[in-house]
Amino acid sequence: MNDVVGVRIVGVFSVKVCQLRIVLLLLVVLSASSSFSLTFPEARHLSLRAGFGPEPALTNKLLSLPKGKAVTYLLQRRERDFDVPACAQETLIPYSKIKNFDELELKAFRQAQNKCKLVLKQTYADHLLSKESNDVLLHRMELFWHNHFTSSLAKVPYAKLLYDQHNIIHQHAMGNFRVLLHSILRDPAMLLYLDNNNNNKAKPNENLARELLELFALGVGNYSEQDVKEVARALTGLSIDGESFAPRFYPERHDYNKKSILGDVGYFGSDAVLEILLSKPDVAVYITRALWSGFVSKEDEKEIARLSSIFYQDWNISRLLRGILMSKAFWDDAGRMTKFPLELVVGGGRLLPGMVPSKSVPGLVKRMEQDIFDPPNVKGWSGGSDWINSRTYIERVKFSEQLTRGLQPKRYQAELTYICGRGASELMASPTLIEPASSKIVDVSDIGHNCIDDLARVLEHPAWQLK
Amino acid sequence: MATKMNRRELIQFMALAGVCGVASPLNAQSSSAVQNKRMVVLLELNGGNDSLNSYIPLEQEARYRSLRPALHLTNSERVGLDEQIALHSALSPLVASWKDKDLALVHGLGYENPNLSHFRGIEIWDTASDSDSYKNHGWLSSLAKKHSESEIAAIVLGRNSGPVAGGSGTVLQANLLRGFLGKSKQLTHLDAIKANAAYSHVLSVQNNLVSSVTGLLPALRKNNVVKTVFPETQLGRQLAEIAQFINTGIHVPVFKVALSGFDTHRNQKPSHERLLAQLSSALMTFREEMIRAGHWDDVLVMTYSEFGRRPKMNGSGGTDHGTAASHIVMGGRVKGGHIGQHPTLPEKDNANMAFTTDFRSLYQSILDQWFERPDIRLADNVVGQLPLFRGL
Repeated sequence: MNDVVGVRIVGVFSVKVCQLRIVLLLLVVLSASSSFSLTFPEARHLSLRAGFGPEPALTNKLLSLPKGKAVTYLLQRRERDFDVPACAQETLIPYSKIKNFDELELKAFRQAQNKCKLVLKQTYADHLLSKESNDVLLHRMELFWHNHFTSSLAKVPYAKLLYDQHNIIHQHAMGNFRVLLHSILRDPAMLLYLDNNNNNKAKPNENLARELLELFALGVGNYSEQDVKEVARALTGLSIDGESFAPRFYPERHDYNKKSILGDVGYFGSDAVLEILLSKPDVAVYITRALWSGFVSKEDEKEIARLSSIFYQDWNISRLLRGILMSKAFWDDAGRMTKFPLELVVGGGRLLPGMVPSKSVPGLVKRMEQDIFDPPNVKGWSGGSDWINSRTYIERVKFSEQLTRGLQPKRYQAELTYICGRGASELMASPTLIEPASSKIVDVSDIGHNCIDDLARVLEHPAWQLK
Repeated sequence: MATKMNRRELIQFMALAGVCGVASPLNAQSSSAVQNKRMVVLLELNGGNDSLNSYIPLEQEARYRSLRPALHLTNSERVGLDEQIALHSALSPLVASWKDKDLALVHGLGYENPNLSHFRGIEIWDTASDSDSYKNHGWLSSLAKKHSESEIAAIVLGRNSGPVAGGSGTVLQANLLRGFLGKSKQLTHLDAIKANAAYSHVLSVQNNLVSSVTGLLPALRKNNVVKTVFPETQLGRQLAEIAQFINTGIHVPVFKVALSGFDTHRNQKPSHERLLAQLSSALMTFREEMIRAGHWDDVLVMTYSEFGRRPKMNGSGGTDHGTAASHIVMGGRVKGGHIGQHPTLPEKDNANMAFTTDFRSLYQSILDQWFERPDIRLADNVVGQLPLFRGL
């Protein structure tokens, strides 16, 4: 693509024009450089950070677009969410019934629950891997918000509830943060996970209140312990119905007295608490910083400040994402972040469709210390370099080894042509970290074991772990 | 440009941190009362070995030929073992072991509801799970816990640490450990790492616990420890390195190597012959060295694969994925001979063989009898009573 720029400038110069016009033209050309389509390294970088890697169809699409339009393309939503697995509805048995279970029934019930939770994970993995499921940035944002507004299948009794929470996140992941925040606070899985069903005026439970302030909205240092207590009081009574599992407010449990929260005084309930939070620019900064860190390895305080003040205006997540993905810091950051387990596995599985059975995925990523819908605690996964330790590194490399095991050239003709046409090392975030193939695969119609061997070499290289 | 790792010499050195932190390397004699000093060498035949053309069931000769008109082994391509089985001629070096009665062939190894995908198939064999359940640990991974707590639980030369992964012992994996030292020094000086914290972290983990391996290196570098000349194949070099470890008294209960290329969908005969020749040559050299050095009674070698192959040949001179297969178990204490029944070749043309021995009963037999660890149970309905051993 850069060659094209050179040719155009030369073409212009060959015509006799006065110097001023030349200078102006140069300026126009240079400032319009963003209207040239993405180069392959740029498309790759964007696909690694905003998707699951440089899979053929996505890459070809991105290569046809300039930066702004490529980001627009990724921000579009085209597809439905995955359907809830059948077992999830079957296992949604009301508390009143469970109370009367004998030991055997209880055991059977728990087994059915656990089985269904696994099915939920497998179904989600299948959705992420599917060739029909290409809203990759949306998927990444769902995973991001799952790790932000954490709940876990280990604690939440029913798979259906986690599915419903996922659905909320799916709807608002690239929408409006205000709506997302309000929806999440009402969400039954969240209320159960953070014990708000036990938060009543006689005995307040601070769990949800604390995490709302510390992790979900404000961040440590921007509130006091007293604020936590007051917010907990404001959230009393917000619970779920034991029969339908729908969110339900119990007035008799609510503390209707005055509260003092973050400097405001009033008779606040849960909605009011959220509006108080959303009035604080600190919340915009906190969320902006969190999102920024999901896409860029180093925090740029100036950019974060600039983007957060825009975000504060109307809480538009999509616009914030665009701001991050169009920033210079993002584009200069290739190869400096670590792929998280799902990204590594789904990336491999989408590059070679059919090689990774979706049923294997939950166990795979769990061994890499990312259990789907099951973060270790409410803080979520710390991420970054923490993903890689001695134990997980073995698993990650083993997965990469398995990816090319028994890979049949005929079946993957198109993919291998794409991969080896450029050279497998070009799939890496930083191709300079690996030696290029020892022999160039010149005849792409003869794609065979040289290509697969080279691909294996790349996938098993430590730099494959980066994005 | 920064120094890059040479492709051929690419070493992947990984270590699983033991529960007690950095492992202290070389307590050849552990103080654990439970430990016995037996070892197993897993020999993975990566891709799914065609056992039907490796170990031919002579009693089903007619059906065998009709299923494989262009692929069956002719008389000149096989060598006799007994009335039941003939070997692929490339496996003829094994005959000596058969005659000495330290080679067992276990037939019909497989499981219910077989999975014919490489990815899932090898997972099942490595974790000894049911076909539809998912386990997170290799079948030998908990052997490590009691056997060698702060020692090396397993050495994996080559790909796929599946059978030992997920435990709490220290697992070393590399193509060849011998080449490691040179590489590790190089890696710490790469310019690239200095500029990229994420990459330097990955590399540091990869080089992690170097100190735990440093103790191994003197043993690796000793000369004249292995006296038999091994073939110059990767498998040969890897088995030679394992022999070196064993001869210098490094007690590691599990070693693993792998031979790749068995997924012979096309033009099977030449590549299968080549692979089986490599297998038998390296394996018999290893046996010879172990006998010479006096360790053969403590060593058990077994082959395994994600599946066998289709009895009926395909249209490309090869075979597609199958199910049950025969595998080798060899060692100084092995009771040589046939174990289990060779499956009946199917009547329906494109069908697969039904397993006759659950592979987990083989594993459980090794755990119960060889390692004396009946506490490690692989599955509820599986017992470990195959008559594999003598004089234990």
